[in-house]
Amino acid sequence: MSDITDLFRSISPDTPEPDAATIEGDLARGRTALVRAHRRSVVRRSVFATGTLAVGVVVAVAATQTGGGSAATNDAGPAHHIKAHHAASAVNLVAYTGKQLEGFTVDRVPAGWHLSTSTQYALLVTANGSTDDDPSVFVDKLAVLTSSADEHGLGPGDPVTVNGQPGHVDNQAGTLILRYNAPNGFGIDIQAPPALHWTADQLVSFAEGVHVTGDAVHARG
Amino acid sequence: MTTERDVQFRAYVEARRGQLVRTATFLAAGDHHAAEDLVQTALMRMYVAWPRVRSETVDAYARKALVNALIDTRRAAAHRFEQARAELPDIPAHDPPATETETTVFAALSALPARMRAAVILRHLCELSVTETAEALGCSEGTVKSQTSRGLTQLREALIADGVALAAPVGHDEPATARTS
Repeated sequence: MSDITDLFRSISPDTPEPDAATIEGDLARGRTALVRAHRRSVVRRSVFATGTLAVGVVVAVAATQTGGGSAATNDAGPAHHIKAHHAASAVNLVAYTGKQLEGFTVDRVPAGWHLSTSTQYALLVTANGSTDDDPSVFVDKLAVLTSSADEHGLGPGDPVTVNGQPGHVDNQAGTLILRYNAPNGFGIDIQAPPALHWTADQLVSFAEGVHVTGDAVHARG
Repeated sequence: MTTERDVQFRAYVEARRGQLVRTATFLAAGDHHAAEDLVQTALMRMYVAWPRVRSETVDAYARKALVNALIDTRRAAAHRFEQARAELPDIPAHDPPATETETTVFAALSALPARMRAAVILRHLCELSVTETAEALGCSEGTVKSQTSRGLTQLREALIADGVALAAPVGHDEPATARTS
Protein backbone atom coordinates (compact mmCIF):
# COMPACT_ATOMS: atom_id res chain seq x y z
CA MET A 1 0.00 0.00 0.00
CA SER A 2 1.40 3.42 -0.94
CA ASP A 3 1.18 6.81 0.72
CA ILE A 4 -1.27 7.83 -2.01
CA THR A 5 -3.45 4.79 -1.37
CA ASP A 6 -3.52 5.74 2.32
CA LEU A 7 -4.48 9.27 1.39
CA PHE A 8 -7.22 8.19 -1.02
CA ARG A 9 -8.68 5.90 1.62
CA SER A 10 -8.65 8.63 4.23
CA ILE A 11 -10.80 10.94 2.13
CA SER A 12 -13.33 8.37 1.03
CA PRO A 13 -16.15 10.48 -0.45
CA ASP A 14 -19.67 10.09 0.81
CA THR A 15 -21.33 7.49 -1.42
CA PRO A 16 -24.72 6.48 -0.04
CA GLU A 17 -26.39 3.24 -1.09
CA PRO A 18 -28.63 3.79 -4.14
CA ASP A 19 -32.34 4.20 -3.47
CA ALA A 20 -35.05 2.49 -5.50
CA ALA A 21 -35.60 5.51 -7.78
CA THR A 22 -31.91 5.64 -8.67
CA ILE A 23 -31.82 1.95 -9.53
CA GLU A 24 -34.99 2.19 -11.62
CA GLY A 25 -33.47 5.19 -13.42
CA ASP A 26 -30.39 3.14 -14.33
CA LEU A 27 -32.64 0.35 -15.55
CA ALA A 28 -34.79 2.71 -17.63
CA ARG A 29 -31.76 4.32 -19.29
CA GLY A 30 -30.36 0.87 -20.08
CA ARG A 31 -33.62 -0.30 -21.64
CA THR A 32 -33.84 2.83 -23.78
CA ALA A 33 -30.26 2.39 -24.95
CA LEU A 34 -30.94 -1.26 -25.78
CA VAL A 35 -33.94 -0.33 -27.94
CA ARG A 36 -31.82 2.26 -29.75
CA ALA A 37 -29.08 -0.33 -30.32
CA HIS A 38 -31.57 -2.81 -31.77
CA ARG A 39 -33.02 -0.15 -34.06
CA ARG A 40 -29.56 0.78 -35.32
CA SER A 41 -28.83 -2.89 -36.00
CA VAL A 42 -32.06 -3.33 -38.01
CA VAL A 43 -31.38 -0.16 -40.01
CA ARG A 44 -27.85 -1.35 -40.84
CA ARG A 45 -29.23 -4.67 -42.05
CA SER A 46 -31.92 -2.92 -44.08
CA VAL A 47 -29.38 -0.63 -45.73
CA PHE A 48 -27.21 -3.63 -46.56
CA ALA A 49 -30.16 -5.48 -48.11
CA THR A 50 -31.17 -2.44 -50.17
CA GLY A 51 -27.60 -2.00 -51.37
CA THR A 52 -27.35 -5.63 -52.45
CA LEU A 53 -30.60 -5.39 -54.40
CA ALA A 54 -29.48 -2.15 -56.05
CA VAL A 55 -26.27 -3.81 -57.21
CA GLY A 56 -28.35 -6.62 -58.70
CA VAL A 57 -30.50 -4.13 -60.60
CA VAL A 58 -27.46 -2.30 -61.95
CA VAL A 59 -25.83 -5.54 -63.10
CA ALA A 60 -29.04 -6.77 -64.73
CA VAL A 61 -29.74 -3.51 -66.54
CA ALA A 62 -26.12 -3.23 -67.69
CA ALA A 63 -26.25 -6.76 -69.08
CA THR A 64 -29.40 -5.89 -71.03
CA GLN A 65 -28.01 -2.67 -72.41
CA THR A 66 -24.70 -4.17 -73.49
CA GLY A 67 -26.19 -7.28 -75.02
CA GLY A 68 -24.59 -9.57 -72.47
CA GLY A 69 -26.12 -12.87 -71.37
CA SER A 70 -28.16 -15.37 -73.32
CA ALA A 71 -30.75 -14.69 -75.96
CA ALA A 72 -33.49 -15.62 -73.53
CA THR A 73 -32.41 -13.03 -70.97
CA ASN A 74 -32.09 -10.38 -73.68
CA ASP A 75 -35.78 -10.86 -74.45
CA ALA A 76 -36.81 -10.24 -70.87
CA GLY A 77 -37.49 -6.81 -69.33
CA PRO A 78 -35.67 -5.29 -66.36
CA ALA A 79 -38.27 -6.60 -63.91
CA HIS A 80 -37.54 -10.14 -65.00
CA HIS A 81 -33.82 -9.57 -64.53
CA ILE A 82 -34.36 -8.33 -60.99
CA LYS A 83 -36.39 -11.39 -60.07
CA ALA A 84 -33.99 -13.77 -61.79
CA HIS A 85 -30.97 -12.19 -60.08
CA HIS A 86 -32.64 -12.32 -56.69
CA ALA A 87 -33.53 -15.99 -57.05
CA ALA A 88 -30.17 -16.92 -58.55
CA SER A 89 -28.21 -15.29 -55.72
CA ALA A 90 -29.85 -17.35 -52.97
CA VAL A 91 -27.02 -19.27 -51.31
CA ASN A 92 -27.57 -23.04 -51.28
CA LEU A 93 -26.76 -25.33 -48.38
CA VAL A 94 -23.90 -27.80 -48.60
CA ALA A 95 -22.76 -30.56 -46.24
CA TYR A 96 -20.39 -29.31 -43.55
CA THR A 97 -17.31 -31.43 -42.96
CA GLY A 98 -15.08 -29.01 -41.06
CA LYS A 99 -14.35 -28.69 -37.36
CA GLN A 100 -17.35 -28.24 -35.09
CA LEU A 101 -17.29 -25.53 -32.41
CA GLU A 102 -18.36 -25.28 -28.78
CA GLY A 103 -22.06 -25.44 -28.00
CA PHE A 104 -23.45 -26.57 -31.35
CA THR A 105 -22.88 -28.91 -34.27
CA VAL A 106 -24.16 -28.29 -37.79
CA ASP A 107 -24.83 -30.69 -40.66
CA ARG A 108 -24.99 -28.06 -43.41
CA VAL A 109 -23.74 -24.52 -44.04
CA PRO A 110 -24.39 -22.06 -46.87
CA ALA A 111 -22.02 -22.70 -49.79
CA GLY A 112 -18.98 -20.47 -49.41
CA TRP A 113 -19.60 -19.87 -45.70
CA HIS A 114 -17.85 -21.32 -42.65
CA LEU A 115 -18.20 -21.60 -38.89
CA SER A 116 -16.62 -18.39 -37.60
CA THR A 117 -16.83 -18.48 -33.83
CA SER A 118 -18.99 -19.73 -31.01
CA THR A 119 -19.70 -19.35 -27.35
CA GLN A 120 -21.84 -21.54 -25.13
CA TYR A 121 -24.89 -19.58 -26.27
CA ALA A 122 -24.10 -18.39 -29.80
CA LEU A 123 -22.73 -19.85 -33.03
CA LEU A 124 -21.82 -17.48 -35.85
CA VAL A 125 -21.41 -18.50 -39.49
CA THR A 126 -19.80 -16.04 -41.90
CA ALA A 127 -18.97 -15.81 -45.59
CA ASN A 128 -15.49 -17.02 -46.52
CA GLY A 129 -13.17 -14.03 -46.56
CA SER A 130 -14.93 -12.26 -43.71
CA THR A 131 -12.45 -11.16 -41.08
CA ASP A 132 -15.04 -10.26 -38.46
CA ASP A 133 -14.95 -13.02 -35.86
CA ASP A 134 -16.27 -10.89 -33.00
CA PRO A 135 -18.71 -13.17 -31.15
CA SER A 136 -20.80 -10.18 -30.06
CA VAL A 137 -21.44 -8.78 -33.54
CA PHE A 138 -24.20 -10.46 -35.55
CA VAL A 139 -24.57 -8.06 -38.47
CA ASP A 140 -24.23 -9.84 -41.84
CA LYS A 141 -23.75 -13.19 -40.11
CA LEU A 142 -25.84 -16.32 -39.91
CA ALA A 143 -26.34 -16.49 -36.14
CA VAL A 144 -27.61 -19.37 -33.99
CA LEU A 145 -28.48 -18.30 -30.45
CA THR A 146 -29.91 -19.99 -27.41
CA SER A 147 -32.74 -18.03 -25.87
CA SER A 148 -32.68 -16.64 -22.37
CA ALA A 149 -34.16 -19.08 -19.88
CA ASP A 150 -36.92 -16.61 -19.04
CA GLU A 151 -38.00 -16.11 -22.65
CA HIS A 152 -40.99 -18.17 -23.67
CA GLY A 153 -43.15 -18.25 -26.77
CA LEU A 154 -42.24 -18.16 -30.43
CA GLY A 155 -42.73 -14.46 -31.07
CA PRO A 156 -44.14 -13.02 -34.28
CA GLY A 157 -43.91 -14.63 -37.71
CA ASP A 158 -45.26 -17.35 -39.98
CA PRO A 159 -45.61 -20.86 -38.53
CA VAL A 160 -43.11 -23.52 -39.62
CA THR A 161 -42.03 -26.93 -38.35
CA VAL A 162 -38.41 -27.69 -37.42
CA ASN A 163 -37.69 -31.38 -36.82
CA GLY A 164 -41.30 -31.81 -35.77
CA GLN A 165 -41.21 -28.83 -33.39
CA PRO A 166 -43.29 -25.68 -34.02
CA GLY A 167 -41.50 -22.48 -34.88
CA HIS A 168 -42.07 -19.02 -36.34
CA VAL A 169 -40.18 -17.23 -39.10
CA ASP A 170 -40.29 -13.45 -39.13
CA ASN A 171 -38.93 -11.19 -41.88
CA GLN A 172 -37.41 -7.98 -40.49
CA ALA A 173 -36.21 -5.77 -43.34
CA GLY A 174 -34.82 -8.76 -45.24
CA THR A 175 -33.34 -10.48 -42.22
CA LEU A 176 -35.12 -13.75 -41.47
CA ILE A 177 -35.47 -14.70 -37.81
CA LEU A 178 -36.53 -18.22 -36.89
CA ARG A 179 -37.48 -19.11 -33.34
CA TYR A 180 -38.23 -22.68 -32.31
CA ASN A 181 -37.70 -25.07 -29.44
CA ALA A 182 -34.96 -27.66 -29.75
CA PRO A 183 -35.74 -31.19 -28.50
CA ASN A 184 -33.44 -30.81 -25.46
CA GLY A 185 -35.42 -27.85 -24.14
CA PHE A 186 -33.42 -24.95 -25.53
CA GLY A 187 -35.27 -22.17 -27.27
CA ILE A 188 -33.29 -21.37 -30.41
CA ASP A 189 -33.17 -18.18 -32.48
CA ILE A 190 -31.56 -18.30 -35.90
CA GLN A 191 -30.97 -15.04 -37.74
CA ALA A 192 -30.25 -15.25 -41.48
CA PRO A 193 -28.84 -12.08 -43.07
CA PRO A 194 -30.28 -10.59 -46.30
CA ALA A 195 -27.10 -11.57 -48.15
CA LEU A 196 -28.22 -15.22 -48.16
CA HIS A 197 -31.51 -14.38 -49.95
CA TRP A 198 -33.10 -17.32 -48.17
CA THR A 199 -36.70 -18.34 -48.07
CA ALA A 200 -38.26 -19.57 -44.84
CA ASP A 201 -37.92 -23.15 -46.15
CA GLN A 202 -34.17 -22.74 -46.67
CA LEU A 203 -33.77 -21.33 -43.16
CA VAL A 204 -35.73 -24.26 -41.72
CA SER A 205 -33.58 -26.66 -43.72
CA PHE A 206 -30.46 -25.16 -42.13
CA ALA A 207 -32.08 -25.24 -38.68
CA GLU A 208 -32.86 -28.95 -39.01
CA GLY A 209 -29.14 -29.61 -39.25
CA VAL A 210 -28.29 -27.59 -36.11
CA HIS A 211 -27.81 -29.56 -32.89
CA VAL A 212 -27.33 -28.05 -29.44
CA THR A 213 -24.63 -29.93 -27.54
CA GLY A 214 -24.25 -30.54 -23.84
CA ASP A 215 -21.94 -27.61 -23.23
CA ALA A 216 -24.44 -25.02 -24.46
CA VAL A 217 -26.13 -22.76 -21.92
CA HIS A 218 -29.05 -20.37 -21.99
CA ALA A 219 -28.13 -16.82 -22.97
CA ARG A 220 -28.25 -14.24 -20.19
CA GLY A 221 -30.81 -11.54 -20.63
CA MET B 1 -42.05 -7.35 -18.50
CA THR B 2 -39.11 -8.05 -16.21
CA THR B 3 -36.44 -10.19 -17.84
CA GLU B 4 -33.60 -12.16 -16.34
CA ARG B 5 -31.33 -9.36 -17.60
CA ASP B 6 -33.33 -6.86 -15.54
CA VAL B 7 -33.17 -8.97 -12.40
CA GLN B 8 -29.42 -9.52 -12.65
CA PHE B 9 -28.69 -5.92 -13.58
CA ARG B 10 -30.83 -4.54 -10.75
CA ALA B 11 -29.04 -6.77 -8.25
CA TYR B 12 -25.68 -5.63 -9.54
CA VAL B 13 -26.58 -1.95 -9.37
CA GLU B 14 -27.94 -2.36 -5.86
CA ALA B 15 -24.75 -4.04 -4.68
CA ARG B 16 -22.07 -2.11 -6.56
CA ARG B 17 -23.36 1.34 -7.50
CA GLY B 18 -21.96 2.98 -4.34
CA GLN B 19 -18.47 1.68 -5.13
CA LEU B 20 -18.76 2.86 -8.73
CA VAL B 21 -19.76 6.34 -7.59
CA ARG B 22 -16.77 6.43 -5.24
CA THR B 23 -14.36 5.50 -8.05
CA ALA B 24 -16.08 7.90 -10.42
CA THR B 25 -15.79 10.73 -7.91
CA PHE B 26 -12.01 10.32 -7.93
CA LEU B 27 -11.97 9.98 -11.75
CA ALA B 28 -13.98 13.20 -11.98
CA ALA B 29 -11.59 14.85 -9.50
CA GLY B 30 -14.29 15.48 -6.92
CA ASP B 31 -17.00 16.76 -9.28
CA HIS B 32 -20.04 14.88 -7.95
CA HIS B 33 -22.25 15.84 -10.88
CA ALA B 34 -19.70 14.61 -13.40
CA ALA B 35 -19.19 11.45 -11.34
CA GLU B 36 -22.92 10.70 -11.43
CA ASP B 37 -22.90 11.22 -15.21
CA LEU B 38 -20.00 8.79 -15.57
CA VAL B 39 -21.78 6.14 -13.52
CA GLN B 40 -25.05 6.55 -15.40
CA THR B 41 -23.27 6.28 -18.77
CA ALA B 42 -21.25 3.26 -17.68
CA LEU B 43 -24.30 1.44 -16.30
CA MET B 44 -26.32 2.20 -19.43
CA ARG B 45 -23.62 0.65 -21.61
CA MET B 46 -23.38 -2.32 -19.26
CA TYR B 47 -27.11 -2.99 -19.55
CA VAL B 48 -26.86 -3.12 -23.35
CA ALA B 49 -23.85 -5.45 -23.17
CA TRP B 50 -25.16 -7.51 -20.24
CA PRO B 51 -25.53 -10.88 -22.07
CA ARG B 52 -21.85 -10.63 -23.04
CA VAL B 53 -20.60 -9.63 -19.60
CA ARG B 54 -19.26 -12.59 -17.64
CA SER B 55 -20.10 -12.66 -13.96
CA GLU B 56 -16.45 -13.15 -12.98
CA THR B 57 -15.34 -10.03 -14.86
CA VAL B 58 -18.33 -7.78 -14.32
CA ASP B 59 -16.46 -5.39 -11.99
CA ALA B 60 -13.58 -5.09 -14.45
CA TYR B 61 -16.12 -4.37 -17.18
CA ALA B 62 -17.68 -1.65 -15.03
CA ARG B 63 -14.33 0.02 -14.35
CA LYS B 64 -13.49 -0.05 -18.05
CA ALA B 65 -16.88 1.47 -18.86
CA LEU B 66 -16.24 4.23 -16.30
CA VAL B 67 -12.84 5.05 -17.78
CA ASN B 68 -14.26 5.04 -21.32
CA ALA B 69 -17.04 7.36 -20.20
CA LEU B 70 -14.45 9.70 -18.65
CA ILE B 71 -12.34 9.79 -21.81
CA ASP B 72 -15.42 10.24 -24.03
CA THR B 73 -16.54 13.11 -21.81
CA ARG B 74 -13.16 14.82 -22.10
CA ARG B 75 -13.23 14.47 -25.89
CA ALA B 76 -16.76 15.87 -26.10
CA ALA B 77 -15.91 18.75 -23.78
CA ALA B 78 -13.16 19.81 -26.16
CA HIS B 79 -15.70 20.93 -28.77
CA ARG B 80 -18.88 21.50 -26.76
CA PHE B 81 -19.76 24.97 -25.56
CA GLU B 82 -23.30 24.42 -24.44
CA GLN B 83 -25.63 21.46 -24.26
CA ALA B 84 -29.35 22.15 -24.77
CA ARG B 85 -31.68 19.65 -23.13
CA ALA B 86 -35.40 19.15 -23.54
CA GLU B 87 -35.60 17.72 -20.06
CA LEU B 88 -33.83 18.30 -16.79
CA PRO B 89 -31.11 15.78 -15.88
CA ASP B 90 -32.57 12.59 -14.46
CA ILE B 91 -31.06 12.64 -11.02
CA PRO B 92 -29.50 15.66 -9.36
CA ALA B 93 -26.22 14.74 -7.75
CA HIS B 94 -25.71 16.12 -4.28
CA ASP B 95 -22.64 18.05 -3.24
CA PRO B 96 -21.56 16.86 0.18
CA PRO B 97 -19.33 19.27 2.05
CA ALA B 98 -15.69 18.60 1.25
CA THR B 99 -12.94 18.60 3.82
CA GLU B 100 -9.86 20.69 3.25
CA THR B 101 -7.81 17.61 2.41
CA GLU B 102 -10.44 16.42 -0.06
CA THR B 103 -10.44 19.78 -1.79
CA THR B 104 -6.66 19.74 -2.07
CA VAL B 105 -6.44 16.15 -3.31
CA PHE B 106 -9.17 16.60 -5.91
CA ALA B 107 -7.60 19.84 -7.12
CA ALA B 108 -4.30 18.03 -7.57
CA LEU B 109 -6.05 15.17 -9.39
CA SER B 110 -7.88 17.57 -11.69
CA ALA B 111 -4.51 18.90 -12.88
CA LEU B 112 -3.60 15.47 -14.27
CA PRO B 113 -4.63 14.50 -17.83
CA ALA B 114 -7.65 12.16 -17.82
CA ARG B 115 -5.83 8.95 -18.73
CA MET B 116 -2.97 9.64 -16.32
CA ARG B 117 -5.48 10.35 -13.56
CA ALA B 118 -7.30 7.12 -14.39
CA ALA B 119 -4.05 5.15 -14.22
CA VAL B 120 -3.23 6.56 -10.78
CA ILE B 121 -6.74 5.92 -9.46
CA LEU B 122 -7.03 2.40 -10.79
CA ARG B 123 -3.63 1.50 -9.34
CA HIS B 124 -3.82 3.34 -6.01
CA LEU B 125 -7.53 3.59 -5.18
CA CYS B 126 -8.91 0.43 -6.79
CA GLU B 127 -5.56 -1.30 -6.18
CA LEU B 128 -5.58 -3.07 -9.54
CA SER B 129 -2.46 -4.75 -10.86
CA VAL B 130 -0.57 -3.22 -13.77
CA THR B 131 -2.08 -5.88 -16.04
CA GLU B 132 -5.64 -5.18 -14.87
CA THR B 133 -5.11 -1.44 -15.23
CA ALA B 134 -3.75 -1.88 -18.76
CA GLU B 135 -6.85 -3.90 -19.60
CA ALA B 136 -9.14 -1.22 -18.21
CA LEU B 137 -7.33 1.56 -20.04
CA GLY B 138 -6.87 -0.39 -23.25
CA CYS B 139 -3.12 0.26 -23.37
CA SER B 140 0.17 -1.54 -22.76
CA GLU B 141 1.52 -2.33 -19.30
CA GLY B 142 4.50 -0.09 -20.05
CA THR B 143 2.18 2.82 -20.65
CA VAL B 144 0.41 2.14 -17.35
CA LYS B 145 3.73 2.16 -15.49
CA SER B 146 4.95 5.38 -17.07
CA GLN B 147 1.61 7.17 -16.71
CA THR B 148 1.28 6.12 -13.09
CA SER B 149 4.85 7.09 -12.27
CA ARG B 150 4.47 10.55 -13.77
CA GLY B 151 1.05 10.98 -12.23
CA LEU B 152 2.27 10.10 -8.76
CA THR B 153 5.22 12.48 -9.07
CA GLN B 154 2.99 15.38 -10.12
CA LEU B 155 0.41 14.51 -7.48
CA ARG B 156 2.97 14.41 -4.64
CA GLU B 157 4.54 17.66 -5.73
CA ALA B 158 1.17 19.40 -5.79
CA LEU B 159 0.07 17.96 -2.45
CA ILE B 160 3.32 18.78 -0.67
CA ALA B 161 3.17 22.31 -2.06
CA ASP B 162 -0.29 22.62 -0.56
CA GLY B 163 0.90 21.39 2.81
CA VAL B 164 -0.52 17.85 2.79
CA ALA B 165 1.64 15.54 4.88
CA LEU B 166 2.43 12.29 3.11
CA ALA B 167 3.92 9.17 4.56
CA ALA B 168 7.11 7.98 2.91
CA PRO B 169 6.23 6.13 -0.30
CA VAL B 170 6.70 2.39 -0.01
CA GLY B 171 6.77 -0.51 -2.38
CA HIS B 172 3.78 0.14 -4.58
CA ASP B 173 5.16 2.81 -6.91
CA GLU B 174 5.93 2.25 -10.54
CA PRO B 175 9.54 2.23 -11.79
CA ALA B 176 10.33 5.77 -12.94
CA THR B 177 12.30 4.38 -15.85
CA ALA B 178 9.33 2.56 -17.38
CA ARG B 179 9.05 2.88 -21.14
CA THR B 180 6.58 5.36 -22.49
CA SER B 181 4.57 3.32 -24.98
